[in-house]
Amino acid sequence: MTEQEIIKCLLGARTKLGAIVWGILRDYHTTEDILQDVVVKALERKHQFENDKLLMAWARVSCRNAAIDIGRQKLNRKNLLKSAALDALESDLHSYPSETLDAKVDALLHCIKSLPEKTRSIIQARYRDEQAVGEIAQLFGQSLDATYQVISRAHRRLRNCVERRISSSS
Amino acid sequence: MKNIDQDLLITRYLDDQASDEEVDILNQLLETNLDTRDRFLSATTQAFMIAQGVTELDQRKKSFPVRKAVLFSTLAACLVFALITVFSLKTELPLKPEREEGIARLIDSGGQVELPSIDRLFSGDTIKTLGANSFLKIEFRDGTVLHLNGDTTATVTGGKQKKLLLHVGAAALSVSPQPINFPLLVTTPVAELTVKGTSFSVLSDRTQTHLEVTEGLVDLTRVVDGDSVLVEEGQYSIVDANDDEDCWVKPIPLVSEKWNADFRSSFRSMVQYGVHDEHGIREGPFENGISGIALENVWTGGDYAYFKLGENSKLKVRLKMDQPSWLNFFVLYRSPDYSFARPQTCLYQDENWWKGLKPGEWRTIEIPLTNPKFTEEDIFMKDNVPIGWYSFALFMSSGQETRGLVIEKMWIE
Repeated sequence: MTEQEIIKCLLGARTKLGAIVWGILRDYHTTEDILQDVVVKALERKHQFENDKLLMAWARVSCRNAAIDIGRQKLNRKNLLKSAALDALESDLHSYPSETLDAKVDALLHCIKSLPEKTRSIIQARYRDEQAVGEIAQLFGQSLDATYQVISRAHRRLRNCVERRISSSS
Repeated sequence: MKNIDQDLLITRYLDDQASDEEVDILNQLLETNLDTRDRFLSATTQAFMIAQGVTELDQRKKSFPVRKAVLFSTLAACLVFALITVFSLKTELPLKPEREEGIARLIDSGGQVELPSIDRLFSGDTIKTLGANSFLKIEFRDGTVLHLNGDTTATVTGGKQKKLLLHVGAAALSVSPQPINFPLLVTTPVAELTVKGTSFSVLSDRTQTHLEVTEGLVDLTRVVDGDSVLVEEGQYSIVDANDDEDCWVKPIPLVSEKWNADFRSSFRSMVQYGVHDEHGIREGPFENGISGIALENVWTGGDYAYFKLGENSKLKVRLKMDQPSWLNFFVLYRSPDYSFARPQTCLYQDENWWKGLKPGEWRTIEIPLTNPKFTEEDIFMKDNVPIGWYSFALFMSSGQETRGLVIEKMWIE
């Protein structure tokens, strides 16, 4: 594969790879570092990838191993998902056609905008600003449990909204 | 494992706060349950996307990193805010008119009411309407109109941001466009409403808040857990402090001049409160001296006793009694647009309905609704309830023992 083909393929799979790495690490900056590192390493080994499938298989394993290593050593994550659970997640995720995932991402952008203002602020504080739920609870003057409820409901509402949009467009 | 809130479990894991046991459960679910994997991947994809700052559609088009864009926007906003603040300080130096004139004025009232001042309200005033028949109508300086129904207590604050603390009772508001960043806030014991400019009604007690939006948009938040929904024009929501379910919105049901209730299949579920049993209406006092059964809707919702009063509306009731007696029928109406916020109660009774009724004989009585025997006396409405008003509750009472009463069905024609 040429350098251009490798970059195009990995950028196209960025959301898939990022979702798994983020799910392991729960840290945006480290996830970004790993994704960039994988691109650099892939370019260094460009001659070993004959096609997209080989590249993606290697990228998935590299991302996952790096995430687990960094999660344990640097981020001191106590609880990491087991291999069997990660296998099942990766299998599901990579069975999505790219177009489906693109459609989901587009739908998600609309759905985030339709969230009530306070809910949107809370999930942005959690994921964009990377504040811990405890900090957010203090910031918004509500209990920790209530804040967890808001975030989990936001995930549920976004998922339902994305499904509705995709099914209505198809 | 059936009762696990999977979304909550995933959220706790993503915050690195899940216990060992919870992570074990999550691992097990992820290995075996496609739905859990879908929820997990959905949550991590959402989180990853939000973390990248792509929560605003137009930010995707920026050529420089999103976080820088956010920083620049924030700095620009701060600068604008600072300029506005400096400018405002200069222009607001004269005495604010609300110090003399108050933040709102009383434009109407009925029944017994309590106001700190005779005809105007100052920030922090608490106002009360005492008794079901009382009401208050208040206009803020920007034209926002507040109706308080009977038995309602509220505190109002003004200035740049208006706030209404509805301790208990019902209110209808028609809100003028509010200043940017200073929406009108309505707080009840269980919910917070953020309003930028709209018309809506809100009814609240200690555990429930009913919101119906007739125009515009209201952001409704449940106080106990912060769950919130946007209630749009033509929608309503009921927030209950004890409800474990997500907040919801539903379209306001269309009201028609037709309505029917068939008690043969679902008698109990249709009776919202009151005294009843299989044998009939009991004698004796029950709240305000009424003994009876009730079909009730508070403002809207459900299919019961919700209809529009037509020119020739008749309530028909098919019933029988083992010991023939008589009944009073009451219908509570409200104005469809909340321009008259207080409900109106009509009593219907006619001794001819019961003449010659034999024990166990089925009879259908016909009640012309536009011709009540008595309408609550009110300074605005001495006549009958206007055509087009909505019924939202219906109940029956009797001063006599009516053992063996069976109502098979009721309907409006």
